[in-house]
Amino acid sequence: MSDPIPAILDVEHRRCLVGGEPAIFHCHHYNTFLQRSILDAEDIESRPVLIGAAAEVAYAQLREIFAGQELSEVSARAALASELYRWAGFGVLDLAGLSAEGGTISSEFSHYSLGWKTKFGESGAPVAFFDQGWLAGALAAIHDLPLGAYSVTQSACMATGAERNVYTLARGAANYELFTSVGAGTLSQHVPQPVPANSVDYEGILAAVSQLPLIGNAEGSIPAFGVYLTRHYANYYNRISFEFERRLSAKFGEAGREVAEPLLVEAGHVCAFHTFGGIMTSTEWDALIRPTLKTREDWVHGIVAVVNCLGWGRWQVVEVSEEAAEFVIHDDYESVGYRAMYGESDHDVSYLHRGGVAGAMNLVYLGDIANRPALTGDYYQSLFRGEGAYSAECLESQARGHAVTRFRVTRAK
Amino acid sequence: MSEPLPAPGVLAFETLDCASKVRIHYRLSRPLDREWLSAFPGQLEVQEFSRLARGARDHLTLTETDRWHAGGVVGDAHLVVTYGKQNRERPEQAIAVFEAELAQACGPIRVVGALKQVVEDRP
Repeated sequence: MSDPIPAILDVEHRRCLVGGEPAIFHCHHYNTFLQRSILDAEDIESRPVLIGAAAEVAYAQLREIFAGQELSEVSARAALASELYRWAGFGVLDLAGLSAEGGTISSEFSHYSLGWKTKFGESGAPVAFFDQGWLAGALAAIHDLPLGAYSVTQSACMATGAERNVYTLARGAANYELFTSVGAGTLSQHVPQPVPANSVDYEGILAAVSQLPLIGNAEGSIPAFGVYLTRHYANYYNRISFEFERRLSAKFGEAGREVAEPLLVEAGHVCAFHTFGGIMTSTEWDALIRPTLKTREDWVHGIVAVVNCLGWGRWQVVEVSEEAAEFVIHDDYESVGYRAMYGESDHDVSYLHRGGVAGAMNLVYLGDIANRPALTGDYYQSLFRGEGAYSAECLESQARGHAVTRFRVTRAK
Repeated sequence: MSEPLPAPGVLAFETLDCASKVRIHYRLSRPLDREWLSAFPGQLEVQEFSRLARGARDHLTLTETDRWHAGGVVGDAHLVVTYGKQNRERPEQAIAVFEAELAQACGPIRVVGALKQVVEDRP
């Protein structure tokens, strides 16, 4: 039986498409931290954006998959949608409990709700905005209705201490914002740049990771490389990040962007610390990558090789030492998505990547990740806010029209 | 990356994974291999990284849904086991079952206070 989830790897661009949507790996630390950063800015109402962005990608993706598989039966569509959700590591949702009129369903596994509770403790209100939007978009696609055909609410959430999440959908006006997916966007002709000599087998690592069964288990989670991954949507992250920035800017002018930018970069730091840190202390790393590493510079190359398996675009480290590093990124998903959503930018927008490259350097040179430190909150603070932390400056940006996105990472004096 | 302990037994260091599940690092008195781990409950899989990447070693996972997910490098004596479900109570029974199997294969288990006592990284 062929795999019902059509994941297409674009090795040339180090990207993956599922139903026309660029799919990327991120873990719950980034997912929940980014969401909380956005929600914390109470001067703008972000909940309709968080829900709408999820509806946007689920709707576009499932419409494409249903058409590609000539799937017209509602029950088969609902089963495939449920499978996709589990496969991607978002949890478990059985859409068979919903009809064309909507309905109420519950779930005991939700990446967002459980991840939030784990990371931040109990919440005072439901937090599974992604799940809500994903359900609304999926149900509209299943019944060949327009995006926005359903309203959605969440009445119970495991993040608040409830035993399960409960969602209710109803035909009627959408209670969230409507966006149209831009799909894969426009990618560049890759011209990889020379990299310094190193002991890392980039192509072999890509081949090995690509063959790992990184798909959701029975609980709809993907435990791998020491963390819990999701096969998420680049267009979701882009939408919620860029709308956050644009709305703050619209309300407060330049000051709004000055608030948004460090928060989004901070989310990148958190991602690097936990995801890269988790990867570099995992048994998979010990088997696949660690045996060949001879220098700290090799460790940077090693994590870059793994990042190239995450669907974020092609990362290259073209210069690296304890003093500084330069990273070139071809088709980083943030730049590609921004250009497709809003056109050329007047500023660089690759916030996750900016936090990521600095985070990699902090872990390797400052954090001594080779000696397996515990990745605690206090350790994060000391690494990223302490003396001598690395930070990244964007020298070129594909969102601004450059051929690549380029970062210079230096250490604070 | 640890050499097997010189005498029968297992060293154990307990921590939490990033989803607050109990994670225990074990240092064993014998190297990990497919043969003896296949006696454990769960699905054993070997990722043959050595065939795909230069200098890589093979990796194995042992997964028993809801109870444990174990991973290690084939030939090493370091096994990392993550137990139970997210945000649930400590999975005492699963730990007991797995450790009984470990003790049978490797000898008595002794809890230690530092990860460094379990994982000896080579320079």
